[in-house]
Amino acid sequence: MTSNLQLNPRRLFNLLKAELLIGKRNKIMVAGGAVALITAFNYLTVVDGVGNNAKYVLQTIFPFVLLGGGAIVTSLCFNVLNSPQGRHAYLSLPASHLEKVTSKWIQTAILFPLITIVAYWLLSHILVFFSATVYDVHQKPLPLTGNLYNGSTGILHLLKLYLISHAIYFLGAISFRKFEIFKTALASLILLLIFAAFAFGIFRIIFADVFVGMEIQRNINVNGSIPNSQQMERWILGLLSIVGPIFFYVVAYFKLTEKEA
Amino acid sequence: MIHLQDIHFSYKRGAELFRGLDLKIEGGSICGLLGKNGAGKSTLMKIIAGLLFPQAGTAEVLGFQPSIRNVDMLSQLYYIPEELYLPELTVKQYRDMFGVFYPQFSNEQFDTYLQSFDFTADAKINKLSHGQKKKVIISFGLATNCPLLILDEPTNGLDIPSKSQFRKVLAGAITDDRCFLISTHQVRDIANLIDPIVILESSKIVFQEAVYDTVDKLYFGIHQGASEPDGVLYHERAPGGYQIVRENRGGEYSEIDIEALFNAVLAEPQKIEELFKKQLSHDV
Repeated sequence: MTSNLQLNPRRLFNLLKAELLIGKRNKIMVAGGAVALITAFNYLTVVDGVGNNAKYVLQTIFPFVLLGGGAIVTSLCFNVLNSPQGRHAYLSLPASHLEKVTSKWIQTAILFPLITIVAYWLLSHILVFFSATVYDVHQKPLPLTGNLYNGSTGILHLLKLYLISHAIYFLGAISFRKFEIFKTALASLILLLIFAAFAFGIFRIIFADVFVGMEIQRNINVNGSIPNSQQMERWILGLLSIVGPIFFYVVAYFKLTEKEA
Repeated sequence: MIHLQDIHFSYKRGAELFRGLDLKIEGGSICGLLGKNGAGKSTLMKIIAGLLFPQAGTAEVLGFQPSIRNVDMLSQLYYIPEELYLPELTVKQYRDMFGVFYPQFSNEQFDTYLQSFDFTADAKINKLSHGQKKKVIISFGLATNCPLLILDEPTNGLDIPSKSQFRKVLAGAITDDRCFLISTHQVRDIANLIDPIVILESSKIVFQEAVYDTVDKLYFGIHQGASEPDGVLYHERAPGGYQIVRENRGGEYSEIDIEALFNAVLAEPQKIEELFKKQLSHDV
């Protein structure tokens, strides 16, 4: 067999187990630090007398914990590739590229959000209990279903955003050496601007007759044949949230196959 | 076992390191890969291990194309680089966690090899000294029972008793279906072990011969006296005269001196080539 596109469940499990257990002390310490930071921030807000707003603090900071934490964890997931010695050890380990990518994907795209949501849900209930008992401030815990603060968004929607962001940072983790999170953010911004300019250019060409210079001078949707902007936004986001991550994961896989020591 | 043909390789923004390099190594040998600093020994080993991809040429290792890094190839090949990367695990944890990736891995052999190196601690490997780490990884590599074991400067960092033990362990572990490829500058550490000898110089393999053939064609000895010897391939000052390498015309017996052989090959590549009647050079 000359192909390396293999997925052996037993080997994948061994790889996952090894990667999860290596440096577990550091991982526990970082998780403990994050819990301490969230607790401290929450209590500073409560004690500070933010009053009624304090009851939504736990729900407000959750997206930052999930998306921010996910960006950090995902960016660092391939940091073994940052040193020549690490690359030797990782690339010569008898597991296929697909298994290596899948193992990292399971850790960062499934285990991290799952553990974060469960842990945060538990922590929020504990903090709600203490803030009510000690400070008489009645906070809202993290709801597992339904919307977060002020009915703006729910966990399911956040997970969709998480997956898009994860795919980008996952590719960045393989592509960049050192400061992956910043380089990925910068590269994404640049690509987004290029994409926006390109999309505008296409739009400008297709609907040339309604433009004067760079500005739209009349309604292009006179007969209602073009879906409204909210509908279009939903379609585009829906499409991007499926096609985008798949595209980035496939590119990430090939990036790993191209890695040399 | 290893078959490289017309390999061309250069690092980014670097000069071409290999130009049409050919190499063929069969099983049942402990092959010594020698070369000056920067000759490309480690690079060649990485190409064989599938860690670097040549720009041109064909490479076949254990029947696989190494750059694909097929799992079946990786599980039959163990590469020990000069600088090691070891996770924060105890020796036993490391054995249990990574041994499973090698189908022929033997826990008993691993423990035996460690004991033969006088290593008993079950400490965190990343906290061990360089020499201790080497002992663990060499033991692990041998216990994988991989047909191909690649060792880059394996004796660096080993203490004197461990170097001797290393030779014994390696000699005891080689079988007809295994091949150990060793690169080293410390030729005296493995002088009686390696056969064939491969010398890498000026982007290609300039010498690849079995020890038997080498001593059949070359004589290694001492020229007594103060005057410089004539008609030799290589000479250097030694106590009581000169150490020499010359053509072995009369079938004289001598012990191979790898250091002298290496210097002779570098000093007189054409003469050595003619002597072994082989096409050694593939200059462009």
